[in-house]
Amino acid sequence: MNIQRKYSLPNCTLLLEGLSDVSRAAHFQELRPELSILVNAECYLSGYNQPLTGGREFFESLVRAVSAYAQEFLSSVPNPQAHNQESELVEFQKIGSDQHRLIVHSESAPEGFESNPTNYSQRPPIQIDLNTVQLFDLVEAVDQFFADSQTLPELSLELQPVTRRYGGASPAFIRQAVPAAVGVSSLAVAAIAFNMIPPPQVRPPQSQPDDKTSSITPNITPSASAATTPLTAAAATPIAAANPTSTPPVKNLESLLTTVPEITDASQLRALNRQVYNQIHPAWTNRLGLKQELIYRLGVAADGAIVGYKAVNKEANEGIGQTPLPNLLYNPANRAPISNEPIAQFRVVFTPEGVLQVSPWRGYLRTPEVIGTKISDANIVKGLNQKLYNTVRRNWGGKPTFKRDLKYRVAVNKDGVIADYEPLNQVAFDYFRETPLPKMFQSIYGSNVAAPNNQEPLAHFQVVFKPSGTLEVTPWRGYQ
Amino acid sequence: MNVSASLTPFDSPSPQSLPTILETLPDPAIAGQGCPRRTKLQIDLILLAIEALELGGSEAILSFAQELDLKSIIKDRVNLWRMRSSNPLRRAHIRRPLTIIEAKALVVIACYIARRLTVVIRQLLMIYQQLDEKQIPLEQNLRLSNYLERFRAHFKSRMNARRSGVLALTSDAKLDELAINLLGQLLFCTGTAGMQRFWISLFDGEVE
Repeated sequence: MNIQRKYSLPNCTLLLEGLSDVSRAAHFQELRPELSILVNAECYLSGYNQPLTGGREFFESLVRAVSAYAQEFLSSVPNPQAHNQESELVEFQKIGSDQHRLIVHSESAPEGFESNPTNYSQRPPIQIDLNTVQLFDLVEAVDQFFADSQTLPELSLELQPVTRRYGGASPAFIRQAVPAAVGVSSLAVAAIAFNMIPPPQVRPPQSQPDDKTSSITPNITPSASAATTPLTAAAATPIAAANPTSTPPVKNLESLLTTVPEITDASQLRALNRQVYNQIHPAWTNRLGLKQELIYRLGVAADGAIVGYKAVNKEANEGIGQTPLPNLLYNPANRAPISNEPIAQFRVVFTPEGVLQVSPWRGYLRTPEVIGTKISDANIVKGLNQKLYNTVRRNWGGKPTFKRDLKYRVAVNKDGVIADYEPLNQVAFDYFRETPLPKMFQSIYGSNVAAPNNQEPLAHFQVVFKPSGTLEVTPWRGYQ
Repeated sequence: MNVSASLTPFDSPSPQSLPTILETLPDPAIAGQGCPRRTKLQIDLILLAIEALELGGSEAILSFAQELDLKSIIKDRVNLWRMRSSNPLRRAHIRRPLTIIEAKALVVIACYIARRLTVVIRQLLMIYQQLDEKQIPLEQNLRLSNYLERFRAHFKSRMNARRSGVLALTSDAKLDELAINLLGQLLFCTGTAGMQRFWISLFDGEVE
């Protein structure tokens, strides 16, 4: 049955349409049945004839951004969740003491566009300027929704103060000891290591992980050189695997690893490392409240699917519910069952500071290389080098606030379109927002969450942003 | 990096249990018992804005303490004044901590009063927006200029002009800006989740 819920304020009306979950039955006698499946959300703001509309992704993003920005308005402390254009559809900008800009990016592209990004043209984002009273009415409409227990009850308002580390100075990273071969713990494209504290915390239903997180899974065929050494149980004192709540997980990583080959090729590990990070990072929403580091060992298939995990320390075993891992385990329903596929192992650490660390369980045996076909013709590379320099130079202005060189690997296709980039050093990670790279990436792919699935040959470059404002682009010489 | 968790038992000001109304506000993860500097300052300023909005604002604070069963925390006028004087910008600044419990009680009261003044707060903000859009001086509107004048007078008479935080607020224009900003905050306090939102925002950038 179709249900409508309306939250009306003088300057803002929120209209939700959806269905009741019949499987939960027994609602039929209720006066106000539970709206548990959201079909459509509309937000009417005074002064604008057109409502903002969208589905569940839009609505969740709206309530997160509104909630975070309300907090920023009250405290004047920047709230990262309100300005998260990499992974949110809705963001806010403060324009003046009494003027607030609401920005809505168009919904992510349909499935499968990644392989052909050129055919997908992004609609420009919608911008709506609100004064303080209008902003309050929007916040109030959202809060009335939160207070309504008969409408999407799994979305609830959970407020958290912004941590001190976000209050300006760049965070001191707490590095864990990783195998000596690993230089920098892996950094995902445009991920943010700060505490992203999205009130409300959304507890996704256990049926499917958020489709934003892992829609992109390049098919990496294990390279021939991959040494396949069966693994003997490594942990001396195995801890019982944490009991995830979803579909049958791999209960015992060790026993699995004794029957399938292990992926040890450094280049493949490096690519998978980013995929793992890109799945966990956006899904780890509530980043506060850990008292101790939670350390896990993950088994990952060649396509990036997380097929099993195991708590390494006691806290990890107890705190599994505070991590997104149970929801990220691959679901056999939407992927062919795993049998005898090679597995890569990663060490994943959730720190009390809200930092996510992912690194290969055994480190890299050799210096990894970039995977995929490369454009090798020297003349073409030279032309692309110049083209990339010009594009980045044109988009990079302002006065740098960083004090050290930011180094990135940037890959472009034969037309010079940016296809991938990753930070190579810590400062590049901390200050990526000062570079035009995330915006360039966003404008082409509409998302900054993961590298697109690129089968075409690419040319790779090292791009260095210097504190002096100088830009350097040189052909890629490999990971240092 | 041991942050005192929100589970630490607090020193209850009285042996009897705490007023239940305070339970809607979670304990922030800050070390120690006292509120951070910014928290004390913000709470005092929001109460100052309330006093500028209606005559007898300080009486209202005491009568709400009575009404909301918070007398065990805010005992009397002197007690309230000592709490407010924990604001480091005050002339009569007293080096005493403002406990989390006291802060909660003051926030609850501020939000209740704000809710009662919802209509006035909204109207004043809308008047401000109209004047601001048309670039008309704010003095042109009697109601708004009354509020701003009273706020400036309260601020100047009670805050220590030599303190760094006050030095930035020497001009009337700057004080007007602060008064309008506090009016916006008061509006947010009137909402369904306003009390929780205002409370949590007081610790932004203060928790580890």
